[in-house]
Amino acid sequence: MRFQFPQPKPSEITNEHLFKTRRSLIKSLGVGAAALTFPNLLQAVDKCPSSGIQIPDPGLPITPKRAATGYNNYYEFSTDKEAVRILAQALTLSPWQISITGQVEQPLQLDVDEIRKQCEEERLYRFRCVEGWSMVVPWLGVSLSDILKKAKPLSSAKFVRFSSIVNLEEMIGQRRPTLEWPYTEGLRIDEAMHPLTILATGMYGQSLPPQNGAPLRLIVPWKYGFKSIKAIQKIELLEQQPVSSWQAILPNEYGFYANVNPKVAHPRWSQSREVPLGQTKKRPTLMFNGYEEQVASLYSGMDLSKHF
Amino acid sequence: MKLSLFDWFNRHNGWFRILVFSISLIPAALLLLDFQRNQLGFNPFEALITRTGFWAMVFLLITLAITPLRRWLNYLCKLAKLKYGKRLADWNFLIKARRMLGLFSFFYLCWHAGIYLHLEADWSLSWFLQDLADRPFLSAAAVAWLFSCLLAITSPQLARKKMGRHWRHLHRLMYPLCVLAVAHALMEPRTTEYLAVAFAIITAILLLHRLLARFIKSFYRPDDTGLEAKR
Repeated sequence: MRFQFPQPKPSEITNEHLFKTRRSLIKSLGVGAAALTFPNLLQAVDKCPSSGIQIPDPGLPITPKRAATGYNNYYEFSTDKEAVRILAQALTLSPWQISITGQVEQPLQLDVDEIRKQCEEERLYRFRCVEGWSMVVPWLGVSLSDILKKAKPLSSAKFVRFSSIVNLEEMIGQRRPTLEWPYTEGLRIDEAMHPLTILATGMYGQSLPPQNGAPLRLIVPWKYGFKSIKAIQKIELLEQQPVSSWQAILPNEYGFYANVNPKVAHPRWSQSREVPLGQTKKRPTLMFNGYEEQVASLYSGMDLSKHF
Repeated sequence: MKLSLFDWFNRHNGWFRILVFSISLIPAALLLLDFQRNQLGFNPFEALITRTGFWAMVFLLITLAITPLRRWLNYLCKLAKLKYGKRLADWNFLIKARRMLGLFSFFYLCWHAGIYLHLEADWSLSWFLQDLADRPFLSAAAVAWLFSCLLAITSPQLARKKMGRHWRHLHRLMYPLCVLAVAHALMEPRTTEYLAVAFAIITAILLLHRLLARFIKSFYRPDDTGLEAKR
């Protein structure tokens, strides 16, 4: 039997970004002291608005970090889930620019660090892979709507397309034509603006490891994991519905919406159960991955077995 | 006259069977050890189901391979002009272990099916029926499991004696059983595809041997089935 060190909860671990900027934190403490004397200054320091949404409790223990960062689907590196962790270390993460273009008033070029400086907050989400496994991960991230609003989307923007990168030097899985590179994904604008949708920059209180999509990935907790595109470089707002990578290659198996739905089976397997990583027994999968209350209204009147 | 290893095994085949029995238990022991030590990886469910399925398949194919193997080894020994092994009967000890190998395949299959029924279907009949409808490769598995049960139940010497020639007819189910098992592996979306293809090729070769032996006169030998395996 091996001894296991007691693991602190992710929320107890000091955020890596906060740790690195602890000196400015001390400075801001000084500001806080000043704010005691000038109370209205305090509001200026607290610039993060609350997302105003009740995030449901995942109802499951947090997945061990070792599993969440050691069992990854990232075909840019390998189709072997456990090889990705090693191969992805080759990716150069900095500098990393993200562009927001298309149907926007003000096209933007953002640095990842700028996004990190936004209101990075912890979100404990369920994550359900289309293959039938799931996890519960404390992500760190910013609300996607906050970022998109900076570019001032036009009313003609109906969809959002996200693209990752092509880097044959470092992403060795891209040398094989498993998918069309770069990997792209899409959301409807109301899905992208939904308060549950975040751009994650970290997990388990630390920056995102390369195998989990560093430096920046999408997290849409009520959709299958492949929608949550990793290593985003381009965000385009479009008038027409884009075609995502998986949809392009296997349109009868992977739809544009890819909402977690236990009642709609994948053509080759059932989606009604899932196995949480690290556990042996399967559990029932929940409608919209347990976020039905928050997102069901987005799809009212739609035939979900047709728009899978 | 010096005794070869074959001769020795043919005369004391109990030892050969003990050897095969111990080797066949190794995968099960390793699986239990890994399970007990929490070494099944990040997705233990997947590891349990794929490893038991893999071993059920391997033992099934070894069982299917005994008769052709005996013929091929006999042929090779003749070609190489070896002193021993030139007679088909020199390899009879392989047949003595065949039933045990088949039962080991059934043993691993029971684990495989039990893991599915307990950890995935949760012993719910309605769930199982729904799953059968959702996943075509499960129907192949269900039929294959029924066949294996029939073969396992009728495997004792007593059943064989009581059933007479019906026993031989029934045990030809082995061939469709192998085809179903391979179909199951090929249709399963998440196994390593190459492995399933390798199983399929091996099965095809072994079944082709039977076809040739059955329909081409020069390949046919009455003692080929192993049922008349006497010295």
